[in-house]
Formats: sequence, C-alpha cells, structure tokens
Amino acid sequence: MTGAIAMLRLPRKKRAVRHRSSKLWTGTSILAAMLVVGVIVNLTADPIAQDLTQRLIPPSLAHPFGTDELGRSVLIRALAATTLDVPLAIGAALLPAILGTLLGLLAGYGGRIADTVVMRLGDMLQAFPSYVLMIVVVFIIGPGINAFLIAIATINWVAYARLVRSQVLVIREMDYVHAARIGGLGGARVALRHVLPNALPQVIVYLAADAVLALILLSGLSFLGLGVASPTPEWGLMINQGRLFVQSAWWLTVFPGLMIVIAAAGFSLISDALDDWSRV
Amino acid sequence: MTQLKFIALRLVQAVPSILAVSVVSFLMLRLVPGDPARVLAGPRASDATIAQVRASMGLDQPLVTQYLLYLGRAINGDFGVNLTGSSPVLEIVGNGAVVTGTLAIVALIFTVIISLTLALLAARRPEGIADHIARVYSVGGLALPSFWVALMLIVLVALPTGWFPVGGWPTDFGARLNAVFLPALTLALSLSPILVRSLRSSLLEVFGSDYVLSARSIGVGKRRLLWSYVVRNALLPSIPLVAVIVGFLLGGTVVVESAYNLPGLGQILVGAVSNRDANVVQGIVLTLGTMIILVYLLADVLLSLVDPRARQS
Repeated sequence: MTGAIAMLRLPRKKRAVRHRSSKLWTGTSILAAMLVVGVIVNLTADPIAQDLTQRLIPPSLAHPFGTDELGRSVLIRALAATTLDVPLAIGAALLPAILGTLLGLLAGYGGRIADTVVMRLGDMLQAFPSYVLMIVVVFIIGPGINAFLIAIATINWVAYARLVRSQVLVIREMDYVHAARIGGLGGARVALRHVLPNALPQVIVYLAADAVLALILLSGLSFLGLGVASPTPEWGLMINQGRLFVQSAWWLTVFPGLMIVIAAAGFSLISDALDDWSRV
Repeated sequence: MTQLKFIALRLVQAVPSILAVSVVSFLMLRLVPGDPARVLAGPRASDATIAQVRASMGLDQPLVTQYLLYLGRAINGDFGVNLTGSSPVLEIVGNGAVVTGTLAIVALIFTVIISLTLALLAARRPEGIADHIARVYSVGGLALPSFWVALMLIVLVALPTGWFPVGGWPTDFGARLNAVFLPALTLALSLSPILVRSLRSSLLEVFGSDYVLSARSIGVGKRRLLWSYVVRNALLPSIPLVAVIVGFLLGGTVVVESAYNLPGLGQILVGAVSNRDANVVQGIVLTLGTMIILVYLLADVLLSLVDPRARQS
C-alpha cells in the first residue's frame, strides 16, 4: 500500500523541484525589486514633503496613488516605506533566531541547570500572545522601533531554542561529535563548529516564516499607534492615519495595505520554498 | 492512568504556569524606569498621591513581599482602580472579557468551518483545483494583515450594506453576534491558513489508511465513512494546534478590536498603554495570560477525552 503511494508520488517530486526554485526566485525578486525601487524613491523624492494645496486628491496621472490629508504623495510614501519595513522585518526575524539558536545550544549542550532555566523561561513567555507581550514592552520602554525589536527578540527566540535544542540532543550523540570530543576539542568549539552547522537548515526555514510574521507585527503595532512615529513613512502607520478617511479617501488605506500584502507574499513564497526543500 | 487522575495532574501542572504569568505581570511595572509608585499613580499624579500609593501598595517593602501582597490582592479580585479612579479594574477587565470572549468563540467556530471545508475539498483530489486553491490560501492568507482586511471589510461590506454596526457593544445577544460577525470573520481569515495545511495532510493520511480501506470494503456508507471515520481521526492531530491558534486569536483580537472599534480587552489594553494606566495594563496582561493557560489545559483534557492515547505521554 505505502509502496504504491510512493510510486505514485515519484514523478510529482520532480515537478515540485522546478516549482520550488521558481517560488524561491519569485519571492526573492519581488523583495529585491521593491527594495531597489524604495532606495531610488528615497534618493530622488521627499516622502515627507507636504503640499497643503494638494490635499486628499484621488489617484490621477500626477499622483497615481492619490495624496493624503497633508498633500503628500501616497505613491512616494508607500514606495519609500519599503526601505524601512522590509529590512526591519528581516532584522526582526534574525534577532530572535540568533538569540534562540544560542540559547538552544546552551540548553542542549550546557547541562541540566541551563536546560531547565532556558526551557522554563520559554514556557513562561509562550503563555502570552505576541501582540500582548509587545504592548507590555511598549508600556515599559515607550513606543517605537526599539520596543518592537526588543519585544520580538523576547518572544520569538523560544521556537528557535526548542528547535535547536532538540536537534542538539540528537546530533550530540553522533559519532562525528564523539570523535571531535575524543580528539580533544572543547565543549564550546564542538557546539559551534560541529553541532550548530547541522542544526542550521531548520533554523533558516523558520526564519523566512518569521519574516512574514515580523512584517505583519511591525505594521500592526504602528497601526495601533504604538510603533513607528509620524511623519516617517511606514505602511501600518499610513493605514492608521488613513482610517479616519476610509469612506471618503479609500486610496490612503488600500495602497499601503497592498504593499504589505505584496512584501509579505514575497517572504511567504521564500518560506514555502524553503519548507518544501527541507522536507524532501 | 485514569481520566480523572489525568485531569487532576494537568490542573496541578497549570498552577506554576499561572504563578509565572502573575510574576511577569508583577515585574512588568517594576521594569518601567523610575519610581513604581509614580508609574502606578499615573503621569499627572501629585507627590501626595504618589506617597499614598507607595504606602497603600507596600511599595517600600522588599520585592518579594510586594509580590506576595500583589498576589494576595489579585486572588481576592482586587486589581485596584483605573487612573481616573472612576471604576475598579476588575469591572473594566470583566466587561472587556465578555466582548473578547464572544469574539474569540465565534472566530474559532468560523476558523474551524472554513479550514475543514477547504481542507476536505483539497484532500478529496490531491493536486486538483481545490488543492491548489487551498495551497495558495494557506501561503497567501498569512500575508494578509488582519487590520487591513478589517478596514477593507468595513468599506466594502459593512458600510454599503448597513448590515453590521461598526463599533460599540450592544446589549442584546443577537445584536452582539451581529457586531462580532465581521471581526470574527477577519480573525478566521488570518488563522485558518495555519489550520488548513495541517488538516489537509492529516486528512490525506487518514484517507490512505488501512482502517478506512477496510471500513469501505465492509460497506460503510459514504457519509458515515467521512464523518465518523475520516474527519474524526483527522481532527485529532489538530487539537493541540487549535490551542496554539486560540493563543494567536487572543493576540489578534488586540488589532482587530481596535480596527472595528469593539470595546474588548485588546482595545482597552491599547488605550491603557497610551494613557499609561498601569493597573489596567497589569490586570489585562494577567487575565489574558491566565486565559491562554486555561485554554491549553482545556485542549489537553479534550484531547485525552477523545483520544485516550494522549494520556500516556
């Protein structure tokens, strides 16, 4: 029975490989193109320049995405925001990944006390939804990008620590690790040079998925008025400011929202491709 | 292990987690730079009020004593009053919890209906059209920010049709369900992509299993086969995931309630952070954290009821 299913699946896998690399390509190209356009817009136009004679103009040839309540071009602001949102999402995914990987190595390789402390701390933090913990951090240190980064590092390391720890527990008993130990290498060196590289592929898969979440969380926090401060162009903040005019000036909320969707879809495609690849 | 023993054990295991949540909500205020009495009394409090808060809350005592005092008050349902002193935090949190609870339950029902329908259609013919749609949905759905979807639904559905109120909390139960319809749908759209994928793969696994084959060979009817054999078994591995989703859901309410102007815990929390209303923030964090631990507990117990194997681990 299982043999028959496996035979049926064989040709499909080949197709999946091509599919997979095209997804990776599309995702990367979308984000790269957005970033390039964003950088060019930031260099050539001023996203915070106001023109109070040109307020709330619907999309036209002169202003393809319309203008906001201060006469700023929504197109320029939406494109310029890419250089803030996308790198921040990547950074916000990387920060907890690094922290969690190191803590996972410590838990898996550093003895029982370290293991218990790290894993219990993780359990405790997991009881809070990420938005709630994020808002707690905002309450403690005040709104802004720093609060966002600290919050996301505090919350998201747990998944990586669990992942790396469980892999370390397996890899630790492999012959090549024993050999390295017998060869006289110290614990830290074995952990970083022999155990870590083998745990990394899974970490990278998580990383891409977390970039999607980080982008949504960042724009969500700004939407709540607790993230990036005005007048910096940021998609969530633009949507927050546009919601007052949601009936009369739809372009203020629709276009920044679409930018989030496109960027998040780019990250999603990459994460999906990496996920397929790790399963084969 | 008997069922009762298992439930008792899980209950006992939940106690340290709830204590941990209380420690976090307690330490939260102590981590704010500056004098905790000033934080609690609010940004515009006079020196006399601050001194009074310090004395009444025992803020001049050691940290451990302060925590025990806090825990004692919390157990008695005393979370203090809000900044303006107009209402007790317990009452504010209680009112908000009704809104958020209703929203979360309706959203969970929507999430399960959407996910199960899509997963069933997808698993019926792998690599078929429905399967591709489900796949695009499970990847693309995560890319939709719920606050934006909320605004789009307000503009495209709520305002033109006038069927749904935008904001506020009616007193009538039917009107309440109406008020949470779109917010719950928004939450379900952002949560079901996670569930669709896992349901699809567990459905496929069950479809291909020997017991379904033998049930079919002894002539079990199509409908009965689907609901009592396939769906029931395929749902099992998703129950722990549902608990995780409820965690996401309670977090998601923060944003969705703000977008729809629903006076739930999330909206109150955001408002309290902006006003620096420390008692309210503390009360809500403690409530939400405890609620999530209880949901995890409930999921464990439910899973053990439908699948006795879960009791073994």
